Amino acid sequence: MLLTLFFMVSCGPPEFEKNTRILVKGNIVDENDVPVSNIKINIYTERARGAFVLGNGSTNEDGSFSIISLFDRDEEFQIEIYGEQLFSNYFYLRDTKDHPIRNLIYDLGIVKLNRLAQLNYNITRTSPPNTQLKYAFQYLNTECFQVFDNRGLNLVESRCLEEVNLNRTLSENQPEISRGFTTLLGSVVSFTYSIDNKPEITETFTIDTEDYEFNFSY
Amino acid sequence: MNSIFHIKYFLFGIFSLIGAIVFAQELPENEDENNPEDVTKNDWQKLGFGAIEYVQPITTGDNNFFGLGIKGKSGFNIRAQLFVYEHIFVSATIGTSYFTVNDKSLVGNYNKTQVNHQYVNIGYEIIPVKNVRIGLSFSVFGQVDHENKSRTNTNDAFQIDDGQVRSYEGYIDYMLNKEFAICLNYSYRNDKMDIVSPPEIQSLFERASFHNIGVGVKLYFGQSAVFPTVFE
Repeated sequence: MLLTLFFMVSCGPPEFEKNTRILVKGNIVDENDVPVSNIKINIYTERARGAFVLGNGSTNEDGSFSIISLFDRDEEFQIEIYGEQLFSNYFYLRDTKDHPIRNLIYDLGIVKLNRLAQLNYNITRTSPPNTQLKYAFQYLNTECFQVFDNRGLNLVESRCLEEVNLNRTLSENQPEISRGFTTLLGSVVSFTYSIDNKPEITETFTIDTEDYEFNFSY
Repeated sequence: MNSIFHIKYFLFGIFSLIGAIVFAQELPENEDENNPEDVTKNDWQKLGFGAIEYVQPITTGDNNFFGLGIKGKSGFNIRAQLFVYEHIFVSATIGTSYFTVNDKSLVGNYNKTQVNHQYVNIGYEIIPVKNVRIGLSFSVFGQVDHENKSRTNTNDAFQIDDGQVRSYEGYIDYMLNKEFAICLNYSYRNDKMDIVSPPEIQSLFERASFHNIGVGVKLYFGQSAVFPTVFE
């Protein structure tokens, strides 16, 4: 009977912080400091059953947002700003169990979202069969995770628009490829390659359009 | 022991008192013939009533989160009232009202609110014409809790807000006979909430305001107030 009671209690729906509302606010601009409207913001908490939305809203015409939300003391409390397909994503993370904000205002200040670009690359073979190509793209990813505690931004645990390395080898099994990835508009991408284990050559180029085409033959 | 327990004990006390007094009261035999002057008073004076009511809550105000972001749905109350001395009464009410959220950006991410309340009123009743009783009252103490529920396809969750009931009420009863009445009720609730929020939005969450319009049935009992002769 005690086990049944424990099961019923432990499996009940989660309860969030009693008698509490918080205010999540800030301003969102693009890489040129121009305000961005209609960007969605979700305030999340993580429980055993999954993630729960405590509050949500979107930015105004001037890029500002001010969202009233429920609150939860959680090691993985998150404020997520979704740029969706147009802008990079931003994640504010805080352990609100040990590091809650006393005045209940989660002011994110000015959050910069970078416009996204899709890089599509086509690699074709013009050289004789059995030629091998090793290549790597180095580019910036599109997500920024900032971890905060009572001392402010925790640089050790934060990861923001980090560099990504994409390595592949093309050979007789797969001599050609057409793929793509998303990176930041205006960012620099490096393409490093080596044909038949000869010395590596690196080309760099700036992503200056939202649909960037990169063609390479070896 | 918190105040909810106090109120529950108080309600239990009121119901016990009603029972004790009803059983203790003996119907005076042939009093009408023996003392004609008491006829009128004996007709209207009651010990109290028990009532059950359906209510329609209507949120109000542009300065509180209830008025701005919540919409009333339905509710019910169970009420016991005792006439302490002639027209002066004390009533105890327990009940639940249901609300839906129409603007989550103002209240937080939940879909509906269940308001559970229990409170004690004091008031005054008049009988302007035969078979009609009109009462006015206000709450002297009471507790309310708002159970805010969110439901998605996969997960349910809830959150509780507490507060103190502030209720101002009126009723009109039409007596169908000496015991039964149908009633029309109105109350204005301006509950004081215990919600803590940042200073710039605190004023929104200090009160939860709504009107209640209700209909119900009442069963009157007894033939004298609790203290019928205290001033005689």
